[in-house]
Amino acid sequence: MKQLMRGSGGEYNTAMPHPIDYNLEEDFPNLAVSGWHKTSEPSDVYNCIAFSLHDTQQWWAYGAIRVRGYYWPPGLTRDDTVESWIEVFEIHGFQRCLTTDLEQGIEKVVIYVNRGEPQHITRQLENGIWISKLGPDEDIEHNTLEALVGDKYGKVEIIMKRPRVSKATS
Amino acid sequence: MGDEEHIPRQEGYHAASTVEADIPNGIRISHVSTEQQTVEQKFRRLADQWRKETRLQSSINKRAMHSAYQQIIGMGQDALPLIMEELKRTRGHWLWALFAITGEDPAPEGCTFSEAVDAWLRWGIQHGYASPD
Repeated sequence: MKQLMRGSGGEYNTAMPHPIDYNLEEDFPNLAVSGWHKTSEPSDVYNCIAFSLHDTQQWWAYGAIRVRGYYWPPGLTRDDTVESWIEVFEIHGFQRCLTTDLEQGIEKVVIYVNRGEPQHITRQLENGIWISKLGPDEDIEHNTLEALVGDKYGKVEIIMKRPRVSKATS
Repeated sequence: MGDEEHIPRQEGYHAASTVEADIPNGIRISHVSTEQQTVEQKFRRLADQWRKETRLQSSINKRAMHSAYQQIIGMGQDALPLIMEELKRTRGHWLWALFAITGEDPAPEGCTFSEAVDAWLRWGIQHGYASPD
């Protein structure tokens, strides 16, 4: 597995560190230990659910009021529960599994849960590294799932997998 | 709330009315009323707080229910030019606030977030809350 440099001063941060980089390590203290790097600028166009399904054109979210401009798969439960997030991934071919270990030809996603509510979902790349879209903030690659464990996103609770359908990494 | 309930901003898209005057030495000064400055300052403070405190959040419900965002909605029509300016600048998640304040949704059914932002910016220009340039 390719390892990323630790902290914000590693070889993957070739430009002057973005101020957000520093904030991220404050928000996620484990990031610096894990090793990570930024892979995109912040974007309000898509979120972590969309990104985990290789969609960078839509913000996947149900709205308590029906404001247009957000996407949620028709017919699915419209709430912010772990179960409804699982449902979204099940209709895209994922099923629950027990291990986050890298498996050839298998794509895995992991849902972080805090106080019973889903907070974030991350996707495993073919090299075993995880890639995340952080809210409207940037995309990052992080070596470990522990990198994002903490007060913001809680802990890893749900692991899902499906056969890889694309070599795309974004 | 329907379209007819909007009061067009005849004086332009800025919330603050500016009094300008020429003084000797070719210097031009302007004064923005304290009340209007306060509205803008309040909006900027709340918008900054909301952006900072929700920047890792992917749930639109949680982002929209943040107290700062709700306070901006509570500012009502006074906030519309400021929201439009912010929407134009950042193309961020102001659609919920605009919908809550105006009761309208000019975005087409099934559109993407970017398309919805464009629709709202057109709406803002049509209703005098945003500049066309």
